[in-house]
Amino acid sequence: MSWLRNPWGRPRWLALITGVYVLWAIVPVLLAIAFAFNAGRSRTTWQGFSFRWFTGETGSVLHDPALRDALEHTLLLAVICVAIAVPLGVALALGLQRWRGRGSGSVNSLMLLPLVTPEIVMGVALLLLFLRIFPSIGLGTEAQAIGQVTFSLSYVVVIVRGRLVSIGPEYEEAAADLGAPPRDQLSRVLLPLLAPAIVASAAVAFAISLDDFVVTQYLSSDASTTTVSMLLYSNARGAPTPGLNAIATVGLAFTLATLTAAFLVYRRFAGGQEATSLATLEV
Amino acid sequence: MGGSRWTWRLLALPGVVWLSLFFLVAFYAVVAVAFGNQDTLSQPVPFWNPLDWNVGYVWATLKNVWHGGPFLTVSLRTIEFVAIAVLLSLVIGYPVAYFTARHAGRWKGVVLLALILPLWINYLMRMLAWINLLAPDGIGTDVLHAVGIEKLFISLGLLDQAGGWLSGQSTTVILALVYGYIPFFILPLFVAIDRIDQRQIEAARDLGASPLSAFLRVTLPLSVPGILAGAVLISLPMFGDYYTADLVSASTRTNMIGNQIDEFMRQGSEKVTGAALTLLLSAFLLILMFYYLRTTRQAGTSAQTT
Amino acid sequence: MEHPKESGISRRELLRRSAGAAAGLSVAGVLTGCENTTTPIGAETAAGATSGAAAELVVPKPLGPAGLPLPRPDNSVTWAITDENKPIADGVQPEAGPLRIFNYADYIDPTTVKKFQKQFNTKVQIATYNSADEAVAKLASRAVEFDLIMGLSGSNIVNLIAQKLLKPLNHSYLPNLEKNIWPELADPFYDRGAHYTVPYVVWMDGIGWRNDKVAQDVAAMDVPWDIFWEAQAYRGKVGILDDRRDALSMPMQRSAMHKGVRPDLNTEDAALIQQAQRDLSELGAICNPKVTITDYQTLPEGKTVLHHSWSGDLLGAAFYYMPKGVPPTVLSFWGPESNGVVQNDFFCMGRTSKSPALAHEFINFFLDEKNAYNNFVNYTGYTPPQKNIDADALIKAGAIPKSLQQAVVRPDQFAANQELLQLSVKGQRLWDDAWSKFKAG
Repeated sequence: MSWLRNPWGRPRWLALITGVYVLWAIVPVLLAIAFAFNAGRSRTTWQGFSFRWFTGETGSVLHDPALRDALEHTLLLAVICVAIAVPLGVALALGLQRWRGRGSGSVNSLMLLPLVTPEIVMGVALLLLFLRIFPSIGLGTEAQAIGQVTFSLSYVVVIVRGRLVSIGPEYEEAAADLGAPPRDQLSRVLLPLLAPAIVASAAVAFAISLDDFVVTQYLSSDASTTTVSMLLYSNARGAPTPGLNAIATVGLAFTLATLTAAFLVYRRFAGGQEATSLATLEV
Repeated sequence: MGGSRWTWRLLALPGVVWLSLFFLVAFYAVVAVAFGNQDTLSQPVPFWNPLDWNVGYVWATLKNVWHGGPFLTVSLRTIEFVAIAVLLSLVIGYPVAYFTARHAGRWKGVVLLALILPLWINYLMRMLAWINLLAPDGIGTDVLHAVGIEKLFISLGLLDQAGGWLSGQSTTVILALVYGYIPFFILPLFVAIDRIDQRQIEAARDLGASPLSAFLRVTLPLSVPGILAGAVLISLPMFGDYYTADLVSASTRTNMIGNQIDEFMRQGSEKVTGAALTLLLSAFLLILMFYYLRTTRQAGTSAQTT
Repeated sequence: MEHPKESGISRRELLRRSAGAAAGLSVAGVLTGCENTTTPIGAETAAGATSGAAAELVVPKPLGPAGLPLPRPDNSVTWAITDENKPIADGVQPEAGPLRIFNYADYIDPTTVKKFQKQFNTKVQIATYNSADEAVAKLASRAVEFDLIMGLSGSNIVNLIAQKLLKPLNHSYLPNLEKNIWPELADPFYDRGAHYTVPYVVWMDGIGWRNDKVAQDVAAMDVPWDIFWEAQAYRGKVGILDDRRDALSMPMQRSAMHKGVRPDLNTEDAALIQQAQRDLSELGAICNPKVTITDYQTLPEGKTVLHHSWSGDLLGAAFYYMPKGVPPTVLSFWGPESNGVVQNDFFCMGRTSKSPALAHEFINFFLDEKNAYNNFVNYTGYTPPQKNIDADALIKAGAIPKSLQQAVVRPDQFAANQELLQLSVKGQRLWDDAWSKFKAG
């Protein structure tokens, strides 16, 4: 085997393993998407191609109230999450990055904690928070939004900070030398430079909110606060129709579209290298 | 830099307040409930003042674990599932990460994209895909039967009966956990291996090491921090997982500690006990994280001195 | 870019600090000799118990929250109508609405509800809950208000009364109650005089199975419950109800049937409860059952072939969930003639209802023969306790197959079986522990 002699060559078996892994990771999902277009009610036997589960009269994403309401609620929560998490996160990232002195370590740890906390712990904590400390808010849409913002915040901060580090202080210093007041340095120099990262973090927050499950389920109040994830969970074990596959596909389409758009924006404005490092970000 | 240092702290303030309120205070609510009591409707009554704390429920939970009660059974099972799943993820994930970092060449971007993609697909959708495939009449079941894997698993005692992948099998739960979490393992692993300086390997080769030896004595030790980081990154959420077992099994024989907590919190049972269990789980995970921090420091220094 | 996972120092600090904090707090707790109890607050008070020297002459009955009596068939309870909580006066015009209802999901026919909306020119808003405990807890938190609450039963009535959540009913608005409803339920033992509740549907626990896939004739067995312990051939396709009271009562019924005695399904005897749990846990090795309530979907699809079921689910499955090409005659149901579980879910009115007269009209509307029948046959599958509904008529009309005859609960069946009723706090704890043990696997 020639690869033994040449370690910088291309061992075929590694490529094979990688190829098989990629197929294993993606093909099941592709099949699930395929069955969303099934003409019949089965999720395991192909009965022809059709859009009925997306736009049909009954049981489709467009017309079945349960599916449609879940999709609407999911999108609503995602929009709220981005609207709150991004400004909060950008401000926190800026503050953390430039924080000198005591307290920065603790705040940094606090910010990182949600990333390593298991979702069920967060779900339980938030549930008890809204039952016992803020019963005026109680469970429901507001609670779900707050919960989602709480863990999305960390992702926004990490992404924006990454970009801040690579920008460096030179631009603001140059602006200061030219006599710009601090507020202008921020709004007219720093923020525009950060724009790609802000867009990227908004997309990430949107995607995370779309796919979130545990916290959203724990903080839901009744059927009107169901999201796509909760729908998938409660119906997957029963006898669902391909309508479930359809709504999962729609959710996936939203996520991928948002991320692709953000990736392109980031790449266009931030240069290729940072885009790669963004792509390898662990999330 | 213009502006006093207070500008920056002021900017950070809203975020800090938010996290303190909805994370720290929320966690304290768990503590206060776990050390509290309940009313006759089984609703938790938190005791906010540490001086008033009632250790009854936490104590009862600890005794349950200590004396081999159901909580111990579930905890041991959870540890077993997570350990096997992480190990499998390593065995499958390391070659993939290694290939992508070292040998992908001009395909690196494409392969990376393929590795990142599962991260953005809804976890539940990925599980739903497998539920479809592994149904008794599903495509996956047929394929596994045809290739002989089904027979192999049955003979190894990993599967109870033909076509019964979704009937309460620990094997299915563990494999589902691997499927769900491995993308989160491969990426940090890739980053760690990618970072290894090619020259260190070259140096080892120049000194006469065979490729295998170079791998075992340079690459592998240097990638240990990445392995540990990835292992911690996926084991923490895995310990709290309940939906995976619920979706592919729904049998009491595969219930994890997350299922137990979920039962107490959402199924209308004793929320106090649920909070106590959550507290114990968090304490256990904290110890895990502490251990990880210590070993990464040691592993990092030893790899560099080799 | 600094990788978040590499900021080891700050995390170390965090761990050091949190370890210190935890140590400090626990020391504080130990030093001040903190409480160590698992008795809920308010569990001990006993109002109305015989006191003084006479107390030792009576075997005390278990008491519920706030010391209220727990209704039993041999211990009926009349809930008082107090001055500060009187029913509305006669002859009030129904309000404009909207009518806010709290109910289980999928537990009322949307078409019949639409009919009501049209007839009374109003809107109906239904909010849903997933479990009775959740419903009572939400109501007790006073965070939500409803005009009508449906789906709760005699196992929750004491909590509802103790938490002062109900408004008494005025029977002048409910002529259909006496006209159409079984007399024993029109005046139930858990609410004599039907001051606060009116029955909605009745159901029983039994066995649902696919007669084309299960070889044994379950109904012909001496003790049909045994089928679960003989279900090795159906391993992985068996289901048990995911409800602690229903599930644990099943092995109790089985052993009582073997012994030929009448079981007490509201027992607080620790030995009996633990034996039931052990019996149930045996099933894990025998047939590895799933613990779910989706029998109304999995039985028609063949994913499960044998299921511990609520009767209404089997009928609902037959009416609504059969896949194409599978006739409802493949479904069978068996329910015990006596000593089994029956339950009656009721209507009750929220104390802070803003449309009480309209709520009364809604109840009366669904007590009407035709509406109750449509609600039953077109959607829910759960039998309303209407005098005129009987299984033979339904079979003759072709509405239900003969194999599901038992799923339509008869008045004499209802009388001979037992309701699952509320337990005292201690008793509930015993059942909870047993369930937790079963669920741990």
